[in-house]
Amino acid sequence: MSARHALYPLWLRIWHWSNALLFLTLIVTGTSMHFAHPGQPQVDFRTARLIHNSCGILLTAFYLVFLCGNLGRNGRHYSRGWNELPRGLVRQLRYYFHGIFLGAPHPHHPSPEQKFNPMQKVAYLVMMYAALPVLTVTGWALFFPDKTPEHMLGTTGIGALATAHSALGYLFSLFMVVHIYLGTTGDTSTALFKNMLLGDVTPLPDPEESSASPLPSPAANDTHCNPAQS
Amino acid sequence: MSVLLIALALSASVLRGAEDNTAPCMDCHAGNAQSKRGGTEIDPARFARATHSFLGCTGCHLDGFSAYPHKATRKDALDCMTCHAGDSSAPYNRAQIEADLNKSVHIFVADPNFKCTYCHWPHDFLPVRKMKSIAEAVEIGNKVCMECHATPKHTWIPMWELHTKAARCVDCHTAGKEETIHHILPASRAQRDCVNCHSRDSLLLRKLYKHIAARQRSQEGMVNAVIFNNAYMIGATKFEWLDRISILLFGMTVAAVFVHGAGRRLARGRKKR
Repeated sequence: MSARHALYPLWLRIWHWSNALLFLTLIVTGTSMHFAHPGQPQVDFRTARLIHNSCGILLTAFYLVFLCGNLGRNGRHYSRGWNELPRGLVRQLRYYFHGIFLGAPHPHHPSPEQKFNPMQKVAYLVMMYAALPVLTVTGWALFFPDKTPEHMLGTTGIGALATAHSALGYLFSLFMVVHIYLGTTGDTSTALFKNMLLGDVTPLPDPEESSASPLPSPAANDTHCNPAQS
Repeated sequence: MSVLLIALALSASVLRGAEDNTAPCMDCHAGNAQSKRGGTEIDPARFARATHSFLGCTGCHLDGFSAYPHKATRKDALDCMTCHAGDSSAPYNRAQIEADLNKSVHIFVADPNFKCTYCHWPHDFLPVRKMKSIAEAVEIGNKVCMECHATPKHTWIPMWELHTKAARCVDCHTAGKEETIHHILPASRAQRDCVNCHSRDSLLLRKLYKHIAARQRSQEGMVNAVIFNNAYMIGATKFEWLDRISILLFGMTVAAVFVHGAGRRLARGRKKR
Protein backbone atom coordinates (compact mmCIF):
# COMPACT_ATOMS: atom_id res chain seq x y z
CA MET A 1 0.00 0.00 0.00
CA SER A 2 1.41 3.42 -0.95
CA ALA A 3 1.73 6.35 1.50
CA ARG A 4 -1.18 8.00 -0.28
CA HIS A 5 -3.47 5.15 0.62
CA ALA A 6 -2.57 5.54 4.26
CA LEU A 7 -4.48 8.84 4.25
CA TYR A 8 -7.30 7.81 1.95
CA PRO A 9 -8.14 4.15 2.53
CA LEU A 10 -10.99 2.89 0.38
CA TRP A 11 -13.40 2.39 3.31
CA LEU A 12 -12.89 6.00 4.33
CA ARG A 13 -13.60 7.32 0.84
CA ILE A 14 -16.74 5.22 0.51
CA TRP A 15 -17.86 6.33 3.97
CA HIS A 16 -17.06 9.99 3.24
CA TRP A 17 -19.04 10.26 0.00
CA SER A 18 -21.92 8.18 1.29
CA ASN A 19 -22.03 10.44 4.31
CA ALA A 20 -21.96 13.53 2.08
CA LEU A 21 -24.84 12.24 -0.03
CA LEU A 22 -26.85 11.25 3.03
CA PHE A 23 -26.31 14.62 4.67
CA LEU A 24 -27.39 16.53 1.58
CA THR A 25 -30.52 14.40 1.32
CA LEU A 26 -31.23 14.76 5.05
CA ILE A 27 -30.83 18.54 4.89
CA VAL A 28 -33.13 18.86 1.85
CA THR A 29 -35.83 16.56 3.24
CA GLY A 30 -35.45 17.94 6.78
CA THR A 31 -35.94 21.53 5.66
CA SER A 32 -38.82 20.44 3.41
CA MET A 33 -40.65 19.14 6.47
CA HIS A 34 -39.53 21.91 8.83
CA PHE A 35 -40.72 24.61 6.43
CA ALA A 36 -43.63 22.63 4.98
CA HIS A 37 -46.25 24.81 3.38
CA PRO A 38 -49.06 23.93 0.98
CA GLY A 39 -48.16 24.70 -2.62
CA GLN A 40 -44.50 25.46 -1.89
CA PRO A 41 -41.89 23.88 -4.22
CA GLN A 42 -40.38 21.32 -1.85
CA VAL A 43 -40.23 17.57 -1.41
CA ASP A 44 -43.71 16.16 -0.78
CA PHE A 45 -44.18 15.80 2.99
CA ARG A 46 -44.83 12.08 3.09
CA THR A 47 -42.02 11.35 0.63
CA ALA A 48 -39.68 13.63 2.58
CA ARG A 49 -40.48 11.80 5.79
CA LEU A 50 -39.84 8.40 4.23
CA ILE A 51 -36.54 9.49 2.67
CA HIS A 52 -35.43 11.37 5.81
CA ASN A 53 -36.09 8.36 8.04
CA SER A 54 -34.38 5.94 5.65
CA CYS A 55 -31.33 8.18 5.29
CA GLY A 56 -31.21 8.65 9.06
CA ILE A 57 -31.02 4.89 9.55
CA LEU A 58 -28.34 4.59 6.87
CA LEU A 59 -26.39 7.48 8.42
CA THR A 60 -26.38 5.64 11.75
CA ALA A 61 -25.09 2.50 10.05
CA PHE A 62 -22.35 4.50 8.31
CA TYR A 63 -21.46 6.19 11.60
CA LEU A 64 -20.89 2.77 13.13
CA VAL A 65 -18.63 1.97 10.16
CA PHE A 66 -16.76 5.22 10.87
CA LEU A 67 -16.35 4.36 14.56
CA CYS A 68 -15.13 0.85 13.76
CA GLY A 69 -12.78 2.20 11.10
CA ASN A 70 -11.31 4.62 13.61
CA LEU A 71 -10.47 1.77 15.93
CA GLY A 72 -7.72 1.13 13.38
CA ARG A 73 -5.02 3.45 12.01
CA ASN A 74 -7.36 6.32 11.11
CA GLY A 75 -8.18 6.87 14.79
CA ARG A 76 -4.70 8.20 15.52
CA HIS A 77 -5.50 11.38 13.55
CA TYR A 78 -8.08 12.26 16.18
CA SER A 79 -6.14 11.24 19.26
CA ARG A 80 -2.64 12.59 18.71
CA GLY A 81 -1.01 16.02 18.55
CA TRP A 82 -3.07 17.83 21.16
CA ASN A 83 -0.11 19.62 22.77
CA GLU A 84 0.48 21.74 19.71
CA LEU A 85 -3.19 22.48 19.18
CA PRO A 86 -3.57 26.08 20.51
CA ARG A 87 -0.56 27.43 18.60
CA GLY A 88 -1.48 25.36 15.59
CA LEU A 89 -4.99 26.80 15.58
CA VAL A 90 -3.66 30.34 15.62
CA ARG A 91 -1.27 29.52 12.76
CA GLN A 92 -4.06 27.89 10.76
CA LEU A 93 -6.48 30.77 11.26
CA ARG A 94 -3.77 33.29 10.39
CA TYR A 95 -3.17 31.34 7.20
CA TYR A 96 -6.86 31.27 6.19
CA PHE A 97 -7.38 34.96 6.99
CA HIS A 98 -4.07 36.31 5.69
CA GLY A 99 -1.44 33.94 4.33
CA ILE A 100 -3.66 32.26 1.78
CA PHE A 101 -4.10 35.60 -0.03
CA LEU A 102 -0.35 36.08 -0.23
CA GLY A 103 0.39 32.58 -1.49
CA ALA A 104 2.09 31.64 1.79
CA PRO A 105 2.87 27.98 2.37
CA HIS A 106 0.29 25.96 4.19
CA PRO A 107 1.23 25.82 7.88
CA HIS A 108 0.34 22.16 8.27
CA HIS A 109 2.07 19.25 6.57
CA PRO A 110 -0.11 16.15 6.59
CA SER A 111 1.58 12.87 7.26
CA PRO A 112 0.42 9.32 7.82
CA GLU A 113 0.81 10.11 11.53
CA GLN A 114 -1.17 13.37 11.49
CA LYS A 115 -3.18 14.23 8.43
CA PHE A 116 -5.49 16.83 9.99
CA ASN A 117 -4.53 20.44 10.47
CA PRO A 118 -5.47 21.81 13.92
CA MET A 119 -8.71 23.36 12.65
CA GLN A 120 -9.75 20.12 11.02
CA LYS A 121 -8.92 18.19 14.16
CA VAL A 122 -11.11 20.37 16.38
CA ALA A 123 -13.93 20.67 13.86
CA TYR A 124 -14.07 16.96 13.03
CA LEU A 125 -13.82 15.96 16.66
CA VAL A 126 -16.71 18.23 17.64
CA MET A 127 -18.83 17.31 14.64
CA MET A 128 -18.14 13.58 14.56
CA TYR A 129 -17.84 12.76 18.25
CA ALA A 130 -20.27 15.25 19.82
CA ALA A 131 -22.70 16.79 17.33
CA LEU A 132 -23.35 13.72 15.17
CA PRO A 133 -24.03 11.35 18.10
CA VAL A 134 -26.52 13.84 19.56
CA LEU A 135 -28.08 14.41 16.13
CA THR A 136 -28.39 10.65 15.67
CA VAL A 137 -29.77 9.98 19.15
CA THR A 138 -32.35 12.78 18.90
CA GLY A 139 -33.31 11.53 15.45
CA TRP A 140 -33.84 8.00 16.74
CA ALA A 141 -35.79 9.31 19.72
CA LEU A 142 -38.20 10.95 17.29
CA PHE A 143 -38.86 7.52 15.79
CA PHE A 144 -40.31 6.52 19.15
CA PRO A 145 -42.13 9.63 20.39
CA ASP A 146 -44.23 7.65 22.85
CA LYS A 147 -41.04 6.57 24.62
CA THR A 148 -39.70 10.11 25.03
CA PRO A 149 -40.04 11.91 28.37
CA GLU A 150 -43.26 13.85 28.72
CA HIS A 151 -41.43 16.99 29.84
CA MET A 152 -37.89 18.08 29.12
CA LEU A 153 -36.11 21.44 29.47
CA GLY A 154 -39.32 23.30 30.19
CA THR A 155 -41.26 21.95 27.24
CA THR A 156 -42.55 18.64 25.90
CA GLY A 157 -39.99 15.87 25.50
CA ILE A 158 -40.59 15.57 21.76
CA GLY A 159 -40.45 19.36 21.39
CA ALA A 160 -37.08 19.59 23.13
CA LEU A 161 -35.60 16.67 21.19
CA ALA A 162 -36.93 17.95 17.87
CA THR A 163 -35.57 21.45 18.55
CA ALA A 164 -32.13 20.03 19.39
CA HIS A 165 -32.32 17.90 16.23
CA SER A 166 -33.17 20.96 14.11
CA ALA A 167 -30.43 23.07 15.69
CA LEU A 168 -27.83 20.38 14.98
CA GLY A 169 -29.19 20.02 11.46
CA TYR A 170 -28.54 23.73 10.95
CA LEU A 171 -25.05 23.31 12.40
CA PHE A 172 -24.24 20.51 9.96
CA SER A 173 -25.50 22.55 7.01
CA LEU A 174 -23.10 25.34 8.05
CA PHE A 175 -20.32 22.80 8.45
CA MET A 176 -20.95 21.44 4.95
CA VAL A 177 -20.70 24.89 3.36
CA VAL A 178 -17.36 25.60 5.06
CA HIS A 179 -16.11 22.04 4.53
CA ILE A 180 -16.86 22.09 0.80
CA TYR A 181 -15.34 25.56 0.40
CA LEU A 182 -12.13 24.63 2.20
CA GLY A 183 -12.00 21.65 -0.15
CA THR A 184 -11.15 24.16 -2.87
CA THR A 185 -8.04 25.42 -1.07
CA GLY A 186 -5.74 22.76 -2.51
CA ASP A 187 -3.25 23.09 -5.37
CA THR A 188 -6.16 23.62 -7.71
CA SER A 189 -9.77 24.10 -6.75
CA THR A 190 -10.55 20.44 -7.53
CA ALA A 191 -7.33 18.74 -6.41
CA LEU A 192 -8.53 17.88 -2.92
CA PHE A 193 -11.87 16.58 -4.17
CA LYS A 194 -10.02 14.30 -6.59
CA ASN A 195 -7.83 13.10 -3.74
CA MET A 196 -10.80 12.15 -1.65
CA LEU A 197 -12.50 10.58 -4.64
CA LEU A 198 -9.60 8.61 -6.09
CA GLY A 199 -7.32 8.38 -3.10
CA ASP A 200 -4.03 8.27 -4.95
CA VAL A 201 -3.96 11.28 -7.25
CA THR A 202 -0.97 12.97 -5.65
CA PRO A 203 1.76 11.09 -3.84
CA LEU A 204 2.89 12.26 -0.42
CA PRO A 205 6.20 14.08 -0.28
CA ASP A 206 9.19 11.89 0.36
CA PRO A 207 9.52 11.68 4.18
CA GLU A 208 13.30 12.06 3.98
CA GLU A 209 12.94 15.13 1.78
CA SER A 210 10.37 16.57 4.16
CA SER A 211 12.59 16.10 7.20
CA ALA A 212 15.53 17.68 5.39
CA SER A 213 13.48 20.75 4.50
CA PRO A 214 11.49 22.22 7.42
CA LEU A 215 9.64 24.62 5.10
CA PRO A 216 8.40 22.62 2.12
CA SER A 217 7.17 24.41 -0.95
CA PRO A 218 3.61 25.77 -0.80
CA ALA A 219 2.48 23.61 -3.69
CA ALA A 220 3.62 20.38 -2.13
CA ASN A 221 2.04 21.20 1.21
CA ASP A 222 -1.27 22.61 0.08
CA THR A 223 -1.96 19.52 -1.93
CA HIS A 224 -2.31 17.43 1.18
CA CYS A 225 -4.10 19.72 3.59
CA ASN A 226 -7.40 18.29 2.69
CA PRO A 227 -10.41 19.59 4.60
CA ALA A 228 -12.35 16.83 2.91
CA GLN A 229 -10.35 14.26 4.83
CA SER A 230 -12.06 12.69 7.78
CA MET B 1 -94.35 34.61 22.25
CA SER B 2 -93.49 30.93 22.74
CA VAL B 3 -89.80 31.82 22.87
CA LEU B 4 -90.60 34.38 25.55
CA LEU B 5 -92.52 31.82 27.60
CA ILE B 6 -89.71 29.29 27.36
CA ALA B 7 -87.20 31.95 28.28
CA LEU B 8 -89.29 32.82 31.33
CA ALA B 9 -89.58 29.16 32.26
CA LEU B 10 -85.82 28.69 31.93
CA SER B 11 -85.13 31.82 33.94
CA ALA B 12 -87.42 30.56 36.68
CA SER B 13 -85.68 27.23 36.59
CA VAL B 14 -82.27 28.88 36.91
CA LEU B 15 -83.51 31.15 39.68
CA ARG B 16 -84.81 28.15 41.61
CA GLY B 17 -81.32 26.81 41.50
CA ALA B 18 -80.08 23.94 39.43
CA GLU B 19 -79.05 21.92 42.47
CA ASP B 20 -82.56 21.94 43.89
CA ASN B 21 -84.10 20.28 40.91
CA THR B 22 -81.14 18.04 40.12
CA ALA B 23 -80.69 16.26 43.42
CA PRO B 24 -84.01 14.33 43.46
CA CYS B 25 -83.49 13.23 39.86
CA MET B 26 -79.99 12.03 40.59
CA ASP B 27 -81.35 9.72 43.27
CA CYS B 28 -82.43 7.47 40.44
CA HIS B 29 -80.45 8.62 37.43
CA ALA B 30 -76.97 8.80 38.89
CA GLY B 31 -74.57 5.92 38.70
CA ASN B 32 -76.50 2.67 38.85
CA ALA B 33 -79.83 4.09 37.68
CA GLN B 34 -80.21 1.36 35.10
CA SER B 35 -80.28 -1.28 37.82
CA LYS B 36 -82.81 0.66 39.90
CA ARG B 37 -85.64 1.66 37.64
CA GLY B 38 -84.23 2.02 34.19
CA GLY B 39 -83.95 5.29 32.35
CA THR B 40 -81.11 7.53 31.38
CA GLU B 41 -77.92 7.17 33.38
CA ILE B 42 -76.23 10.41 34.31
CA ASP B 43 -72.74 10.87 35.69
CA PRO B 44 -73.25 13.57 38.38
CA ALA B 45 -69.64 14.74 38.20
CA ARG B 46 -69.71 15.13 34.44
CA PHE B 47 -73.17 16.70 34.57
CA ALA B 48 -71.91 19.24 37.12
CA ARG B 49 -69.22 20.30 34.64
CA ALA B 50 -71.51 20.20 31.61
CA THR B 51 -72.20 23.47 29.88
CA HIS B 52 -75.96 23.08 30.43
CA SER B 53 -75.81 22.02 34.06
CA PHE B 54 -76.83 25.50 35.20
CA LEU B 55 -80.30 24.70 33.88
CA GLY B 56 -80.73 21.74 36.18
CA CYS B 57 -82.79 18.76 35.05
CA THR B 58 -86.10 20.55 34.83
CA GLY B 59 -84.61 23.28 32.69
CA CYS B 60 -85.06 20.97 29.74
CA HIS B 61 -87.34 18.32 31.18
CA LEU B 62 -90.09 20.83 31.88
CA ASP B 63 -93.31 18.98 32.47
CA GLY B 64 -94.20 15.42 33.31
CA PHE B 65 -90.89 14.46 34.86
CA SER B 66 -91.39 15.55 38.46
CA ALA B 67 -93.13 12.39 39.68
CA TYR B 68 -92.31 8.74 39.13
CA PRO B 69 -93.27 7.05 36.95
CA HIS B 70 -92.79 10.01 34.63
CA LYS B 71 -95.76 10.97 32.55
CA ALA B 72 -93.48 12.42 29.91
CA THR B 73 -90.89 10.61 27.84
CA ARG B 74 -87.51 11.65 26.54
CA LYS B 75 -89.17 13.04 23.44
CA ASP B 76 -91.03 15.56 25.58
CA ALA B 77 -87.84 17.19 26.77
CA LEU B 78 -86.87 20.42 25.12
CA ASP B 79 -85.08 20.15 21.80
CA CYS B 80 -81.81 22.06 21.39
CA MET B 81 -83.40 24.30 18.82
CA THR B 82 -86.08 25.37 21.28
CA CYS B 83 -83.44 27.57 22.85
CA HIS B 84 -80.75 27.85 20.25
CA ALA B 85 -82.81 28.74 17.19
CA GLY B 86 -82.43 32.46 16.74
CA ASP B 87 -79.96 32.62 19.60
CA SER B 88 -77.69 35.33 18.34
CA SER B 89 -75.89 35.83 21.64
CA ALA B 90 -74.32 32.36 21.69
CA PRO B 91 -70.55 32.26 21.18
CA TYR B 92 -70.88 30.40 17.89
CA ASN B 93 -72.54 30.96 14.58
CA ARG B 94 -75.65 28.79 14.79
CA ALA B 95 -76.81 29.61 11.27
CA GLN B 96 -73.43 28.49 9.94
CA ILE B 97 -73.53 25.31 12.01
CA GLU B 98 -76.94 24.47 10.59
CA ALA B 99 -75.81 25.17 7.03
CA ASP B 100 -72.68 23.05 7.52
CA LEU B 101 -74.60 20.23 9.12
CA ASN B 102 -77.03 20.13 6.22
CA LYS B 103 -74.11 19.61 3.85
CA SER B 104 -72.48 16.99 6.05
CA VAL B 105 -72.35 13.29 5.38
CA HIS B 106 -74.24 12.74 8.64
CA ILE B 107 -77.33 14.38 7.15
CA PHE B 108 -77.33 13.52 3.47
CA VAL B 109 -76.04 9.97 3.81
CA ALA B 110 -76.53 8.72 7.36
CA ASP B 111 -79.72 10.18 8.75
CA PRO B 112 -81.83 13.10 7.49
CA ASN B 113 -83.11 13.52 11.05
CA PHE B 114 -79.65 13.65 12.56
CA LYS B 115 -79.82 15.48 15.88
CA CYS B 116 -77.34 17.67 17.75
CA THR B 117 -77.58 15.33 20.72
CA TYR B 118 -76.19 12.42 18.72
CA CYS B 119 -72.79 14.03 19.21
CA HIS B 120 -73.42 16.69 21.85
CA TRP B 121 -74.89 14.55 24.63
CA PRO B 122 -76.50 17.31 26.71
CA HIS B 123 -75.86 15.67 30.07
CA ASP B 124 -72.12 16.02 29.80
CA PHE B 125 -71.47 18.23 26.78
CA LEU B 126 -68.64 20.73 27.17
CA PRO B 127 -67.36 22.94 24.38
CA VAL B 128 -63.61 22.77 23.75
CA ARG B 129 -63.05 26.19 25.24
CA LYS B 130 -64.35 24.95 28.61
CA MET B 131 -62.33 21.77 28.74
CA LYS B 132 -59.35 21.39 31.05
CA SER B 133 -56.89 20.80 28.27
CA ILE B 134 -56.49 20.13 24.59
CA ALA B 135 -55.73 16.51 25.47
CA GLU B 136 -59.13 16.25 27.15
CA ALA B 137 -60.83 17.89 24.17
CA VAL B 138 -59.19 15.38 21.84
CA GLU B 139 -60.01 12.40 24.02
CA ILE B 140 -63.66 13.32 24.52
CA GLY B 141 -64.09 14.51 20.93
CA ASN B 142 -62.76 11.28 19.48
CA LYS B 143 -64.72 9.15 21.92
CA VAL B 144 -67.94 10.67 20.57
CA CYS B 145 -67.06 9.53 17.03
CA MET B 146 -65.98 6.10 18.24
CA GLU B 147 -69.38 5.47 19.79
CA CYS B 148 -70.81 5.02 16.30
CA HIS B 149 -67.79 4.38 14.12
CA ALA B 150 -65.73 1.24 14.51
CA THR B 151 -62.04 1.77 15.15
CA PRO B 152 -61.01 3.21 11.82
CA LYS B 153 -58.00 1.99 9.86
CA HIS B 154 -55.67 4.80 8.95
CA THR B 155 -52.66 2.76 7.96
CA TRP B 156 -51.38 5.53 5.70
CA ILE B 157 -50.89 7.85 8.69
CA PRO B 158 -47.55 7.29 10.42
CA MET B 159 -47.60 7.16 14.20
CA TRP B 160 -51.35 6.74 14.20
CA GLU B 161 -51.66 6.43 17.98
CA LEU B 162 -49.85 9.72 18.45
CA HIS B 163 -52.14 11.43 15.95
CA THR B 164 -55.24 10.22 17.80
CA LYS B 165 -53.93 11.87 20.96
CA ALA B 166 -53.04 15.16 19.27
CA ALA B 167 -55.99 15.81 16.96
CA ARG B 168 -59.64 15.01 16.69
CA CYS B 169 -61.28 12.94 13.96
CA VAL B 170 -63.26 16.02 12.90
CA ASP B 171 -60.11 18.08 12.37
CA CYS B 172 -59.33 16.01 9.29
CA HIS B 173 -62.82 14.82 8.42
CA THR B 174 -64.17 18.32 7.82
CA ALA B 175 -63.85 20.70 4.96
CA GLY B 176 -60.63 22.59 4.26
CA LYS B 177 -59.22 25.17 6.58
CA GLU B 178 -62.60 26.60 7.47
CA GLU B 179 -63.44 26.81 11.12
CA THR B 180 -66.35 24.42 10.81
CA ILE B 181 -66.28 21.00 12.34
CA HIS B 182 -69.91 20.34 11.44
CA HIS B 183 -69.45 19.93 7.71
CA ILE B 184 -68.35 16.30 8.10
CA LEU B 185 -67.04 14.91 4.83
CA PRO B 186 -67.22 11.37 3.53
CA ALA B 187 -64.00 9.48 4.29
CA SER B 188 -62.95 9.69 0.64
CA ARG B 189 -62.86 13.50 0.84
CA ALA B 190 -61.19 13.86 4.24
CA GLN B 191 -57.88 15.73 4.55
CA ARG B 192 -55.00 13.64 3.27
CA ASP B 193 -52.37 16.31 2.72
CA CYS B 194 -50.14 16.24 5.82
CA VAL B 195 -49.02 19.80 5.14
CA ASN B 196 -52.49 21.15 5.86
CA CYS B 197 -51.69 20.54 9.53
CA HIS B 198 -47.91 20.29 9.43
CA SER B 199 -47.26 23.87 8.41
CA ARG B 200 -47.00 27.28 9.99
CA ASP B 201 -50.58 28.03 8.95
CA SER B 202 -51.84 24.73 10.39
CA LEU B 203 -55.55 24.10 10.02
CA LEU B 204 -55.60 22.98 13.66
CA LEU B 205 -55.36 26.66 14.57
CA ARG B 206 -58.76 27.18 13.02
CA LYS B 207 -60.30 24.01 14.40
CA LEU B 208 -59.05 22.30 17.56
CA TYR B 209 -57.09 25.30 18.79
CA LYS B 210 -59.33 28.09 17.58
CA HIS B 211 -60.60 29.05 21.04
CA ILE B 212 -57.18 29.38 22.59
CA ALA B 213 -55.15 30.21 19.50
CA ALA B 214 -56.17 33.83 19.42
CA ARG B 215 -55.01 34.53 22.96
CA GLN B 216 -51.86 32.41 22.94
CA ARG B 217 -50.62 32.53 19.37
CA SER B 218 -48.34 35.47 19.89
CA GLN B 219 -46.09 33.92 22.55
CA GLU B 220 -42.64 35.39 22.03
CA GLY B 221 -40.22 33.61 19.74
CA MET B 222 -42.32 30.57 19.00
CA VAL B 223 -44.29 29.59 15.92
CA ASN B 224 -47.68 28.26 17.02
CA ALA B 225 -46.80 28.13 20.71
CA VAL B 226 -50.39 27.19 21.38
CA ILE B 227 -49.85 23.87 19.60
CA PHE B 228 -46.25 23.41 20.79
CA ASN B 229 -47.41 23.54 24.41
CA ASN B 230 -49.56 20.49 23.75
CA ALA B 231 -47.89 18.60 20.95
CA TYR B 232 -44.82 18.91 18.74
CA MET B 233 -45.78 19.02 15.07
CA ILE B 234 -42.98 19.23 12.56
CA GLY B 235 -43.68 22.05 10.13
CA ALA B 236 -46.18 23.74 12.45
CA THR B 237 -44.27 24.26 15.69
CA LYS B 238 -40.79 25.70 15.93
CA PHE B 239 -38.68 28.30 17.62
CA GLU B 240 -38.77 31.37 15.43
CA TRP B 241 -35.46 32.66 16.81
CA LEU B 242 -33.67 29.40 16.07
CA ASP B 243 -34.76 29.53 12.43
CA ARG B 244 -33.89 33.19 12.09
CA ILE B 245 -30.47 32.91 13.71
CA SER B 246 -29.65 29.75 11.76
CA ILE B 247 -30.72 31.19 8.41
CA LEU B 248 -28.78 34.38 9.18
CA LEU B 249 -25.67 32.37 10.10
CA PHE B 250 -26.06 30.25 6.98
CA GLY B 251 -26.36 33.37 4.80
CA MET B 252 -23.37 34.98 6.50
CA THR B 253 -21.30 31.82 6.03
CA VAL B 254 -22.15 31.58 2.34
CA ALA B 255 -21.36 35.30 1.94
CA ALA B 256 -18.06 34.88 3.81
CA VAL B 257 -17.15 31.95 1.58
CA PHE B 258 -17.85 34.03 -1.54
CA VAL B 259 -15.86 36.99 -0.23
CA HIS B 260 -12.95 34.73 0.77
CA GLY B 261 -13.06 32.96 -2.59
CA ALA B 262 -13.16 36.28 -4.45
CA GLY B 263 -10.21 37.51 -2.37
CA ARG B 264 -8.20 34.41 -3.28
CA ARG B 265 -9.05 34.84 -6.93
CA LEU B 266 -8.03 38.49 -6.90
CA ALA B 267 -4.79 37.67 -5.09
CA ARG B 268 -4.01 34.94 -7.62
CA GLY B 269 -4.70 37.34 -10.50
CA ARG B 270 -2.36 39.97 -9.07
CA LYS B 271 0.33 37.38 -8.49
CA LYS B 272 0.14 36.24 -12.13
CA ARG B 273 0.43 39.83 -13.37
